[in-house]
Amino acid sequence: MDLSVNSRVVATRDNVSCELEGEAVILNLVDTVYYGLNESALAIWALIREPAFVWEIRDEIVRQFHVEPDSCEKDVLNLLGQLEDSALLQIVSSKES
Amino acid sequence: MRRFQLYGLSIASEFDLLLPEDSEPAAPAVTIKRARPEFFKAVMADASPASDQKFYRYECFPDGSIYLAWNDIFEFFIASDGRAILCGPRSDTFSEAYINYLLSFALSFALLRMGDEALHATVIECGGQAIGFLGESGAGKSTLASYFLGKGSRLVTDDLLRVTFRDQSVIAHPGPQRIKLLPESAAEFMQGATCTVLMNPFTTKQLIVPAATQRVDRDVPLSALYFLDRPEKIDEGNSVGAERLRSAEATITVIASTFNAAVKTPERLERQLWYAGQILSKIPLMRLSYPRRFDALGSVYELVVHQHRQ
Repeated sequence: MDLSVNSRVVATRDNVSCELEGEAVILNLVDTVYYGLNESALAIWALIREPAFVWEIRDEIVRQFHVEPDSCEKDVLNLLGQLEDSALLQIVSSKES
Repeated sequence: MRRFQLYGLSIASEFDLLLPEDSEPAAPAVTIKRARPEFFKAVMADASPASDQKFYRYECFPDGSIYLAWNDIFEFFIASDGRAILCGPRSDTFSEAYINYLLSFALSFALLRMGDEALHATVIECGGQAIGFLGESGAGKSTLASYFLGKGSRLVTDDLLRVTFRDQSVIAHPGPQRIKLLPESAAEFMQGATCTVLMNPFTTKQLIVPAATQRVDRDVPLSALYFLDRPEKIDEGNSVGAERLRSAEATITVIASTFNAAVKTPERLERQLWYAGQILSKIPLMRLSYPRRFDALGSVYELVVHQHRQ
């Protein structure tokens, strides 16, 4: 399934994370690689611990960080794509909301 | 069996570990015994030929027990629960150098089997609090520590640091009262100390016993960790500086500074992450940069002591 603003996504379970000073390090227990998350990435990570639509994540990040929706959507999709490539995220569905 | 106190643990041993004996021994966390060559032959009978490129041999058996060996220098077997270490005879078994490998290298595997972690660090006590120096081998940890000892600090541990967490404190437990130094560093800063032996035939590092006034044998709260950049990563200038590492970089630095890099099971990696988080939630980690010259160590000392007092 392709990732889009209407995808429903969730973080995979095979990882552990450590938060420190508003940022985090995630350890992927499958490939045993560490990933660093900055403040905004950590906010997105928190939102996908339970299944969520990408548009819901975008709207929440716009609200939290007071950023412009179009560029936010692009950045959110970019990060979620990286998480998917790293097997830290799976797409639950790609149906219209 | 004799009892010793080391890294905050009670250790029972069949032979002298060249440590202060434990006057009120608790139940031993680890028991150290001799084993005959036949025992190691039997243990290794079904092991596959050595295949990794490490300088030492490391075999982890299906039940979790571990075999370690390095040429004629040491041979150890560690029980699956980490509670027993069996020592094979070698050409200079039970020498200072052999015991040093036993109490750092072999014991680090036992600690992991017991669900514990340790840092690769040299730690000194200064004004009632401990300061830890992290860095790869050759980064200058022991040389810098020896400069501090010359200024009145005391050695807590060299090489392996075991800490425990109490409320908001990180407690550093004392290790063997030895420090490994290159001969030029020993000659410069440890003239009143006793040189025991070379660590192994492949290095010029010496095992030095600091004077009694330069050693501490009690738990000390750790106030900060300093990560020493490799010399080649430092500008050619004379600048001495320390910057605080934050969040992800700090976490990865602590994980990379844990003592044992051989065990990479998911359970261990998960514990390392937790361990780094525990440390960094309580004390700062600084990156320390300075030119690797003896005449720069005075400025490093002033900087660290100044930060330590704040």
